[in-house]
Amino acid sequence: MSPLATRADEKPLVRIAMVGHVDHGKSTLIGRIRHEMSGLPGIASVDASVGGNWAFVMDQLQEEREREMTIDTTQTFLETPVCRLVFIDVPGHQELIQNMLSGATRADAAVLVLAGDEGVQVQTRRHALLLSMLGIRTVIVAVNKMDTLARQEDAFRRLEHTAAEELRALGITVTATIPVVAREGDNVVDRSPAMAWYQGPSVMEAIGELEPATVPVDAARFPVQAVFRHDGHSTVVGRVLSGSVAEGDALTVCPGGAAVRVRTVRRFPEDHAAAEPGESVGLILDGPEPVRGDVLAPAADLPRSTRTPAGRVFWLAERPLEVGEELALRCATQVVEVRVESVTERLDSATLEPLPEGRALASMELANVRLSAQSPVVLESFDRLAALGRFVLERGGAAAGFGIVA
Amino acid sequence: MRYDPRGELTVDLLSRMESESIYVIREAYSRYSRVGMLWSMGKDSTALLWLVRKAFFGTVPFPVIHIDTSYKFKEIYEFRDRLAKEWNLDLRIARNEEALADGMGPKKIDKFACCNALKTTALKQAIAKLGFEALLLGIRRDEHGVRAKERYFSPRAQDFTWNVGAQPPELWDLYATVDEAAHDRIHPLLHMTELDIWRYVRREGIPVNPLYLAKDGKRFRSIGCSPCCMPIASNAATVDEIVAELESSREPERAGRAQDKENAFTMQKLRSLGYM
Repeated sequence: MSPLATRADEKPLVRIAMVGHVDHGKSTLIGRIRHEMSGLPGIASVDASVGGNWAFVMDQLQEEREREMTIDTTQTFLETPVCRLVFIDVPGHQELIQNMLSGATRADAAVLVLAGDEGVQVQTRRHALLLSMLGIRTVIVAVNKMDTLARQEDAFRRLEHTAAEELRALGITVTATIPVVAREGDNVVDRSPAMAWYQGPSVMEAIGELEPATVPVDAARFPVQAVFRHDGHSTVVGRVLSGSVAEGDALTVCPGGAAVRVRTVRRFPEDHAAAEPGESVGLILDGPEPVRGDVLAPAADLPRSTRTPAGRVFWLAERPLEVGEELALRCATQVVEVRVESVTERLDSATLEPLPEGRALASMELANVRLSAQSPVVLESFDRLAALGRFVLERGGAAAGFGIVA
Repeated sequence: MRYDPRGELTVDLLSRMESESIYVIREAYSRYSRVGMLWSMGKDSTALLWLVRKAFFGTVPFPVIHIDTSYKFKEIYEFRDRLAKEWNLDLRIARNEEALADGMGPKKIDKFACCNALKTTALKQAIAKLGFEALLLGIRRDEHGVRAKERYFSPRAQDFTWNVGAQPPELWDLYATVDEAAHDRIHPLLHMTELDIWRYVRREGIPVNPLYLAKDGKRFRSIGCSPCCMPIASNAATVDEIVAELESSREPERAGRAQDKENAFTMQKLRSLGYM
């Protein structure tokens, strides 16, 4: 579930990650969009220090401008009379993949930028793989730098075909492939008369055609964030992930299985009878008191509780993950000590080729990882409920890798 | 049991943004034993204070710190004292007395050095004295290109520095708290824009500092120290009118801030030294 999805009677909000290989034009494309949109009411003009280098709209750090590369992820916000857009720029360099993920895990959709003169490169493939893992399975492809291909259709069609094949293999659907010259604005907002052979949408038109995120209707899932006692009540606070939680509901505390009943749904200044997905509330319960990390759910449809969690893990940290290592697993509000039991089906994220069997998972590799946990972990499959189907593995408190539950 | 795979949302966007912020606030409170928040009495940190009251059902269970440069507008001090009383706040005032006794001010020295001495150093002194592990701040991504790169949980080193180029990864809302951090900055409003804040102020009826409301064709869009903040030309005298004005404005929010204008990278330098 996307925490910022919008209601049907509101302007749709889409958060779009701009991904792809280094120097293929991600920041330039966002900067150019930002520049062209600044004619609209409510949108500030780009600052003068940009001076026609559209990437500088996003690249605001001194070292980013000096080295002409994006180092850290950043966001820009556009609100028009019909929609709200958040563009998330991410760095293309392999060494900065953790910054790419800090941005991409906040996106609902993505534009994959591909430079016409270089085509599909290592980071194109790796970013596409990560999108697929993160559940962003609908993508717009922008074939940038079409000026290096003399804005010719033949070369574009070959790249369109290659990109579609590679993305299909990752389970990603391409909604539009667009020939673009980001620097000059061809097919960015307006259709380019210089590429009249292209009949499809511009990048902004393709974004406008994206389906807004929706919320799965499912059984209630309420991870406990804390129990507050500062005002004389024992209030179980948390955020509803799915379903609803209402006064009088009978719920089960997972793991453990204790039965509780919701006496009051607390908010300030007034209490309400029910809480819906995405809402942070407090619950006063009758029954045994849960603790941080527990998940409340209806007895008829409980999430799994397991001491042997497993997932498809992408490793970020420089030092490899090794069988036998002990680290912390974080999922929703749970933090559990785990030990690595096995690493199988390793894949190289640069080539998407399988790697020989081994006992370690190096940076930029992914594998099926089986863990043993000191206490039960409450999980769902990622496809049923993303927020209980993804986890981070932490070393020294820092995220060292992430996993997706099948 | 079976469910429809997809459904309609019943909660509006502003409420969902509010819940996102409350989640971050409660996450910070659950993870650290010594939490504080910075309150500048501006619209953002006052909205944050409102959200803290919501997160804790009407109380603010930790100290609220005002970094007082002594150059604030008198309306700011009045607003502070009124709300501190009404909302029963544990208000702490942090001033760099030594620098003030020395005559530090924006006229004596350049604005960068003044901000650093009267804000950053005053904050360092307050943290050392009060021993905070985590500080809540009302910064937003859309107010400045450098703030756009912030994380919700942002570690600061012992010397207070923020290494913007090497921030730890922050995946989804699975916030990490790295062991080596001296303290963490927590930013519950990162996802809200200036317009979102004003719409939220309007919906919730959050008290507004009178400096934001136009008088004689002028109002402040961003408030801080009186020598370094310029009003903008505006006739927006109510929150409704401010929302309408921003829906059509093409001026950036901090256009009236002197410190942002002197050098393109001033904000980056200030923040890397520990500025808010």
